[in-house]
Amino acid sequence: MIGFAAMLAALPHDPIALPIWQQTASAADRTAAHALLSGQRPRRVAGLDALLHWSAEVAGIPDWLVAASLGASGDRAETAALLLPPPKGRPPGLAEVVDALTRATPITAHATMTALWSRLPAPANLVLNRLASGTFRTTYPAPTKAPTGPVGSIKAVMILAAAARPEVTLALWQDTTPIPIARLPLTLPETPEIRAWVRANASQRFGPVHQVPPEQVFRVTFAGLARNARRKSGLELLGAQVVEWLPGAQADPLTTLDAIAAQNGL
Amino acid sequence: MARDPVLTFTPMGIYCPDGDFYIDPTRAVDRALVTHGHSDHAYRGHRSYLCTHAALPVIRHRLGRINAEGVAYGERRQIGGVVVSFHPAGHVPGSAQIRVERGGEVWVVSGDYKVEDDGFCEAFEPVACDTFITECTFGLPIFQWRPEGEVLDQIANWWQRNAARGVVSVLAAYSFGKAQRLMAGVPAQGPIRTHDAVQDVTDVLRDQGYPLPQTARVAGDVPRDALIIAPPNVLNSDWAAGLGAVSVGFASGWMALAARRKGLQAAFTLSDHADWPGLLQAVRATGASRVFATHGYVEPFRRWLAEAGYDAGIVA
Repeated sequence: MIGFAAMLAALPHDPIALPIWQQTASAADRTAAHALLSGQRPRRVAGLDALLHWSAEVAGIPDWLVAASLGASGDRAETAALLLPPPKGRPPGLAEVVDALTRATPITAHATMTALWSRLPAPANLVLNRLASGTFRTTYPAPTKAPTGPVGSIKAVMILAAAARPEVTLALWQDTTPIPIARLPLTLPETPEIRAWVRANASQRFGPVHQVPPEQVFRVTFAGLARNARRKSGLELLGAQVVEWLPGAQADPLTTLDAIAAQNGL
Repeated sequence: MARDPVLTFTPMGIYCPDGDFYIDPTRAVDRALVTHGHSDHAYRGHRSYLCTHAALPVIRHRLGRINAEGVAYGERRQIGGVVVSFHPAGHVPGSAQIRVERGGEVWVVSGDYKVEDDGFCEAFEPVACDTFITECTFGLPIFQWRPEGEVLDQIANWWQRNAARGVVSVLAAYSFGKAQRLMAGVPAQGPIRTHDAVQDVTDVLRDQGYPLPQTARVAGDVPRDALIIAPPNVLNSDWAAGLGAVSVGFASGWMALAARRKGLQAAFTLSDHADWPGLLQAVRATGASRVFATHGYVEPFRRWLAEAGYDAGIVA
């Protein structure tokens, strides 16, 4: 649960936060995360006012001081998480938390919450409070379908490269047109060589971006695939990462957009 | 005949009538006792300054030619009808609480302080007193810090992940105090580069003998595995725009609140001020029966103390 909360905080800015978390998370926690990120939420266990009241009771904070604290935070779920004393005992994993929330009844809700709170630090308790109150939202574009298996892998071709930093836009073919599928940082050992090729072969420059002939192929891994209507491809790779440059690889036998969508049931 | 209190509260700042001096005055005065070198405590324009030896170099660096004198921590000095001494506050290098004694009655002005020992600046020491004037920047129970080592590890982890994907880490931190605490405390994942404002103060502190790693000013191409430490105000400037692909993080106690983390790629709750439990611990440790709150959530903090049985007021 601690790692899951940290991953959620990093997700909007760190393209590999999800796959990195998945590497260390238990199978049960990965499954629970997939369910949450694809929109399946546990039933609401208690409202935010109740959570705040219970938290203040645990912390021994009077109402007037809760009100002053809420004034500074502006968020009941956050205030309830921050008032609690430091955790003791073994912190529960995400799956254990979701399971406890799923089993909670109106009669056991208070005991369930105080027991979970006592074992978690504030950032994890904030996520817990959002889950328990039915106010959990991810800032990440929520996938319409959870990843079906382990990390996927595709071969994609470079079509654009940033001039000032090691970042490339990769594409898959739709008929004879390369359709952009992801813009990703390049952290390969061959990055300087690739950038030199970009400078020597750029056909056009659009402000900070070079257009290059679709000739250089890369292997990209990803943790999931989602529909995203705002993308030209209609798809979004989640947790994608460029893992290998395949110099000399043919640009044409690449995975096509249609094929990858079909494989992932989208 | 009723005497003046040992310390009084004036529009210029905290004043000692029997010693005719001010503590951290906000306007120009003849004699200023200064707790530490931050600009909201060490103001320009006083005729004379008294601070710790350890605080003096940074204050001189910031204020230029001033008439200033340093004292050792714990050294007792008679000023008019009172005896004053400076005691470690654990806030930034050289920072002090100021103890003022008149005929057996002791008042202590905390200045800014932090009770957790960061292993870098002089560690906070509680000073027994009758009246304690305490800051309360984070004087609400929602402010509770995690142990420092945990936060420094979070920063190192962020730096390492950025370095692995060729993204430079830019950490915003106040140029005096927090910046050096970070460079001394974060386990290194690459070279450290600095903004000029940070490097200038770092050089002053290094010359004083504070243990600081090697750092260099940002110049030309920055190594992709570097950590750049810069003051928060330059992050949206041309200076920042020249750095290429960066991840921007901010280390401050305010990062405890999501509303303050907006727009930042990484946020670390690390403060040079006491958290709520730290404030209460500090108040108890003085043994004071009277407490005045200043700088921060003064009204809730005063009320909490009053309900706990203290004679509690606000510096006003």
